[in-house]
Amino acid sequence: MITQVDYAITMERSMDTTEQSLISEAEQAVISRFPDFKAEGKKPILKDMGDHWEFTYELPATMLGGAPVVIIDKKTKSISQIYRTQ
Amino acid sequence: MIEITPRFDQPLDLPRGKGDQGASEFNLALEESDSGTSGTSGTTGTLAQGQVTAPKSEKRPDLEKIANDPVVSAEIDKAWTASNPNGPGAKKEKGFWVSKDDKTGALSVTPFPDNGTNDSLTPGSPPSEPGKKVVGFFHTHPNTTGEGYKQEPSSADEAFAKSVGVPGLIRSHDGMYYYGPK
Repeated sequence: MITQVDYAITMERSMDTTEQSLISEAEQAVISRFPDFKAEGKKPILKDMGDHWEFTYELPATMLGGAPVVIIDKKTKSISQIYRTQ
Repeated sequence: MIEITPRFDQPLDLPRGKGDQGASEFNLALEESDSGTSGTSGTTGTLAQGQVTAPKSEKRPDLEKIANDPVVSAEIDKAWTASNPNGPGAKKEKGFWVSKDDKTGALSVTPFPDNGTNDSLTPGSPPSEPGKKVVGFFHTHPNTTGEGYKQEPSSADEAFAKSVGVPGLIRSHDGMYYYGPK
Protein backbone atom coordinates (compact mmCIF):
# COMPACT_ATOMS: atom_id res chain seq x y z
CA MET A 1 0.00 0.00 0.00
CA ILE A 2 2.78 2.42 0.86
CA THR A 3 4.40 1.68 -2.46
CA GLN A 4 1.21 2.71 -4.22
CA VAL A 5 1.21 6.00 -2.36
CA ASP A 6 4.79 6.67 -3.32
CA TYR A 7 3.89 6.07 -6.95
CA ALA A 8 0.96 8.49 -6.80
CA ILE A 9 3.15 11.17 -5.32
CA THR A 10 6.02 10.80 -7.74
CA MET A 11 3.58 11.54 -10.54
CA GLU A 12 4.04 15.18 -9.54
CA ARG A 13 7.37 15.31 -7.74
CA SER A 14 9.53 13.35 -5.40
CA MET A 15 8.70 13.37 -1.74
CA ASP A 16 11.19 13.84 1.02
CA THR A 17 11.52 11.45 3.91
CA THR A 18 9.36 13.53 6.21
CA GLU A 19 6.49 13.63 3.76
CA GLN A 20 6.70 9.92 3.17
CA SER A 21 6.56 9.38 6.90
CA LEU A 22 3.49 11.59 7.13
CA ILE A 23 1.79 9.56 4.43
CA SER A 24 2.53 6.41 6.32
CA GLU A 25 1.13 8.00 9.45
CA ALA A 26 -2.00 9.04 7.57
CA GLU A 27 -2.56 5.48 6.45
CA GLN A 28 -2.08 4.26 9.98
CA ALA A 29 -4.52 6.85 11.27
CA VAL A 30 -7.12 5.61 8.77
CA ILE A 31 -6.60 2.03 9.91
CA SER A 32 -6.90 3.05 13.52
CA ARG A 33 -9.84 5.44 13.23
CA PHE A 34 -11.82 3.55 10.60
CA PRO A 35 -10.92 -0.12 11.02
CA ASP A 36 -13.87 -1.17 8.86
CA PHE A 37 -12.54 0.71 5.82
CA LYS A 38 -11.39 -1.55 3.00
CA ALA A 39 -8.78 0.01 0.71
CA GLU A 40 -8.90 -2.76 -1.88
CA GLY A 41 -9.60 -1.41 -5.36
CA LYS A 42 -9.13 2.17 -4.22
CA LYS A 43 -6.08 4.18 -5.17
CA PRO A 44 -4.41 6.17 -2.39
CA ILE A 45 -3.66 9.70 -3.46
CA LEU A 46 -2.09 12.78 -1.93
CA LYS A 47 -3.10 16.28 -3.00
CA ASP A 48 -1.06 19.41 -2.31
CA MET A 49 -3.64 21.92 -1.08
CA GLY A 50 -1.22 24.77 -0.40
CA ASP A 51 -0.99 24.99 3.36
CA HIS A 52 -1.84 21.34 3.86
CA TRP A 53 -1.78 17.93 2.29
CA GLU A 54 -4.96 15.98 1.71
CA PHE A 55 -4.59 12.21 1.77
CA THR A 56 -7.49 10.10 0.54
CA TYR A 57 -8.42 7.18 -1.70
CA GLU A 58 -9.76 7.48 -5.23
CA LEU A 59 -12.80 5.36 -6.15
CA PRO A 60 -13.34 3.79 -9.57
CA ALA A 61 -14.99 6.27 -11.98
CA THR A 62 -18.14 4.15 -12.11
CA MET A 63 -18.81 4.52 -8.41
CA LEU A 64 -20.55 6.99 -6.17
CA GLY A 65 -19.25 7.14 -2.65
CA GLY A 66 -16.47 8.17 -0.40
CA ALA A 67 -13.38 7.29 1.53
CA PRO A 68 -11.40 8.45 4.54
CA VAL A 69 -9.73 11.85 4.21
CA VAL A 70 -6.72 12.85 6.29
CA ILE A 71 -5.65 16.48 6.45
CA ILE A 72 -1.96 16.98 7.21
CA ASP A 73 -0.85 20.45 8.25
CA LYS A 74 2.35 21.45 6.49
CA LYS A 75 3.61 23.73 9.24
CA THR A 76 3.20 21.36 12.12
CA LYS A 77 3.64 18.27 9.96
CA SER A 78 0.87 16.59 11.86
CA ILE A 79 -2.64 15.33 11.21
CA SER A 80 -5.08 18.16 11.84
CA GLN A 81 -8.30 16.47 10.73
CA ILE A 82 -9.59 13.05 9.76
CA TYR A 83 -13.06 12.26 8.44
CA ARG A 84 -14.91 10.18 5.87
CA THR A 85 -16.91 11.10 2.83
CA GLN A 86 -19.82 9.03 1.50
CA MET B 1 1.33 -8.89 8.15
CA ILE B 2 1.92 -5.17 8.41
CA GLU B 3 3.38 -3.86 11.63
CA ILE B 4 2.01 -0.46 12.56
CA THR B 5 4.35 1.86 14.40
CA PRO B 6 3.24 5.27 15.69
CA ARG B 7 5.38 8.15 14.51
CA PHE B 8 6.00 11.68 15.69
CA ASP B 9 4.69 10.74 19.10
CA GLN B 10 1.11 10.94 17.89
CA PRO B 11 -1.48 8.42 19.01
CA LEU B 12 -2.89 6.26 16.26
CA ASP B 13 -6.36 6.84 17.53
CA LEU B 14 -6.77 10.58 17.37
CA PRO B 15 -8.73 12.29 20.11
CA ARG B 16 -12.39 12.35 19.16
CA GLY B 17 -12.61 16.11 19.37
CA LYS B 18 -9.67 16.63 17.06
CA GLY B 19 -10.85 14.16 14.48
CA ASP B 20 -14.32 15.61 14.45
CA GLN B 21 -13.37 19.22 13.89
CA GLY B 22 -16.03 19.51 11.24
CA ALA B 23 -18.73 18.21 13.52
CA SER B 24 -19.65 21.57 14.98
CA GLU B 25 -20.39 23.11 11.61
CA PHE B 26 -22.57 20.17 10.64
CA ASN B 27 -24.38 20.24 13.95
CA LEU B 28 -24.95 23.92 13.27
CA ALA B 29 -26.27 23.01 9.86
CA LEU B 30 -28.66 20.60 11.49
CA GLU B 31 -29.84 23.24 13.89
CA GLU B 32 -30.33 25.73 11.08
CA SER B 33 -32.22 23.15 9.11
CA ASP B 34 -34.38 22.25 12.08
CA SER B 35 -35.17 25.87 12.79
CA GLY B 36 -36.59 26.43 9.34
CA THR B 37 -40.25 26.32 8.46
CA SER B 38 -40.01 23.83 5.66
CA GLY B 39 -40.70 20.73 7.64
CA THR B 40 -37.50 18.76 8.15
CA SER B 41 -37.23 16.68 11.24
CA GLY B 42 -33.46 16.40 11.23
CA THR B 43 -32.31 12.83 11.15
CA THR B 44 -35.64 11.13 11.48
CA GLY B 45 -36.23 10.83 7.75
CA THR B 46 -39.67 12.43 7.85
CA LEU B 47 -40.21 15.47 5.70
CA ALA B 48 -43.71 16.82 6.06
CA GLN B 49 -43.52 19.50 3.40
CA GLY B 50 -41.16 18.25 0.73
CA GLN B 51 -37.42 17.96 0.53
CA VAL B 52 -35.44 20.57 2.44
CA THR B 53 -32.20 21.92 1.01
CA ALA B 54 -29.17 21.48 3.26
CA PRO B 55 -27.82 24.86 4.39
CA LYS B 56 -24.42 24.14 2.85
CA SER B 57 -25.76 22.90 -0.49
CA GLU B 58 -25.34 24.70 -3.76
CA LYS B 59 -28.54 26.62 -4.56
CA ARG B 60 -30.16 24.89 -7.53
CA PRO B 61 -33.84 25.81 -8.04
CA ASP B 62 -34.01 23.48 -11.05
CA LEU B 63 -33.00 20.50 -8.92
CA GLU B 64 -35.12 21.57 -5.95
CA LYS B 65 -38.08 21.45 -8.33
CA ILE B 66 -37.17 17.88 -9.30
CA ALA B 67 -36.74 16.84 -5.67
CA ASN B 68 -40.13 18.24 -4.76
CA ASP B 69 -41.98 16.65 -7.65
CA PRO B 70 -44.56 14.38 -5.94
CA VAL B 71 -43.34 11.23 -7.68
CA VAL B 72 -39.66 11.91 -7.08
CA SER B 73 -40.16 13.16 -3.53
CA ALA B 74 -42.00 9.98 -2.59
CA GLU B 75 -39.19 7.87 -4.08
CA ILE B 76 -36.60 9.92 -2.19
CA ASP B 77 -38.40 9.25 1.06
CA LYS B 78 -38.65 5.57 0.21
CA ALA B 79 -34.94 5.31 -0.66
CA TRP B 80 -33.97 7.23 2.47
CA THR B 81 -35.93 4.87 4.70
CA ALA B 82 -34.55 1.83 2.85
CA SER B 83 -30.99 3.02 3.44
CA ASN B 84 -31.59 2.64 7.20
CA PRO B 85 -30.16 6.07 8.12
CA ASN B 86 -30.93 5.78 11.82
CA GLY B 87 -30.12 2.12 12.36
CA PRO B 88 -29.92 -0.15 14.15
CA GLY B 89 -28.25 -2.50 11.73
CA ALA B 90 -26.34 -1.98 8.54
CA LYS B 91 -26.81 1.15 6.44
CA LYS B 92 -26.88 0.95 2.67
CA GLU B 93 -26.77 3.68 0.04
CA LYS B 94 -29.76 3.66 -2.31
CA GLY B 95 -30.48 5.65 -5.43
CA PHE B 96 -32.18 6.05 -8.78
CA TRP B 97 -32.10 7.86 -12.10
CA VAL B 98 -34.70 10.56 -12.79
CA SER B 99 -36.15 10.80 -16.31
CA LYS B 100 -38.46 13.34 -17.90
CA ASP B 101 -41.10 12.47 -20.48
CA ASP B 102 -40.51 14.51 -23.65
CA LYS B 103 -44.22 15.09 -24.29
CA THR B 104 -45.85 15.36 -20.89
CA GLY B 105 -42.91 16.56 -18.83
CA ALA B 106 -43.77 13.95 -16.21
CA LEU B 107 -40.89 12.69 -14.10
CA SER B 108 -40.25 9.01 -13.42
CA VAL B 109 -37.49 7.07 -11.70
CA THR B 110 -35.37 4.02 -12.51
CA PRO B 111 -33.80 2.41 -9.41
CA PHE B 112 -30.06 1.83 -9.24
CA PRO B 113 -28.94 -1.79 -8.83
CA ASP B 114 -29.14 -2.91 -5.22
CA ASN B 115 -25.36 -3.02 -4.79
CA GLY B 116 -24.76 -0.27 -2.26
CA THR B 117 -22.59 -0.41 0.81
CA ASN B 118 -22.91 2.01 3.71
CA ASP B 119 -20.78 4.54 1.83
CA SER B 120 -20.68 3.62 -1.85
CA LEU B 121 -22.85 2.63 -4.77
CA THR B 122 -22.39 1.65 -8.43
CA PRO B 123 -25.31 3.03 -10.48
CA GLY B 124 -24.41 1.53 -13.86
CA SER B 125 -25.29 3.33 -17.08
CA PRO B 126 -28.16 5.83 -17.34
CA PRO B 127 -31.37 4.28 -18.72
CA SER B 128 -32.13 4.80 -22.38
CA GLU B 129 -35.88 4.88 -22.94
CA PRO B 130 -37.54 6.29 -26.07
CA GLY B 131 -39.41 9.51 -25.39
CA LYS B 132 -37.63 10.12 -22.10
CA LYS B 133 -34.54 12.06 -21.15
CA VAL B 134 -32.46 11.49 -18.01
CA VAL B 135 -32.42 14.76 -16.09
CA GLY B 136 -30.61 13.71 -12.93
CA PHE B 137 -29.78 11.01 -10.44
CA PHE B 138 -30.34 10.64 -6.73
CA HIS B 139 -28.64 8.74 -3.93
CA THR B 140 -28.63 8.67 -0.15
CA HIS B 141 -25.92 9.52 2.38
CA PRO B 142 -27.13 7.52 5.38
CA ASN B 143 -24.09 7.94 7.64
CA THR B 144 -23.99 10.64 10.32
CA THR B 145 -21.48 13.28 11.28
CA GLY B 146 -21.17 11.52 14.60
CA GLU B 147 -19.92 8.47 12.74
CA GLY B 148 -17.18 10.61 11.21
CA TYR B 149 -18.87 11.27 7.87
CA LYS B 150 -19.25 14.50 5.93
CA GLN B 151 -22.74 14.96 4.53
CA GLU B 152 -22.00 16.76 1.26
CA PRO B 153 -21.14 15.22 -2.15
CA SER B 154 -17.79 13.42 -2.24
CA SER B 155 -15.22 14.03 -4.96
CA ALA B 156 -16.31 10.71 -6.50
CA ASP B 157 -19.93 11.93 -6.49
CA GLU B 158 -18.87 15.10 -8.30
CA ALA B 159 -16.75 13.18 -10.80
CA PHE B 160 -19.57 10.74 -11.55
CA ALA B 161 -22.06 13.55 -12.24
CA LYS B 162 -19.56 15.14 -14.59
CA SER B 163 -18.91 11.87 -16.41
CA VAL B 164 -22.60 11.07 -17.03
CA GLY B 165 -23.39 14.70 -17.80
CA VAL B 166 -26.39 15.07 -15.50
CA PRO B 167 -26.72 16.66 -12.06
CA GLY B 168 -26.97 14.79 -8.79
CA LEU B 169 -29.28 15.00 -5.80
CA ILE B 170 -28.41 13.64 -2.36
CA ARG B 171 -30.56 13.10 0.71
CA SER B 172 -28.42 13.44 3.83
CA HIS B 173 -29.00 13.88 7.54
CA ASP B 174 -28.91 17.66 7.13
CA GLY B 175 -31.16 17.87 4.09
CA MET B 176 -30.82 17.75 0.31
CA TYR B 177 -27.60 18.48 -1.55
CA TYR B 178 -27.58 19.45 -5.22
CA TYR B 179 -24.52 19.39 -7.47
CA GLY B 180 -23.14 18.68 -10.90
CA PRO B 181 -23.65 19.92 -14.46
CA LYS B 182 -26.15 22.71 -15.10
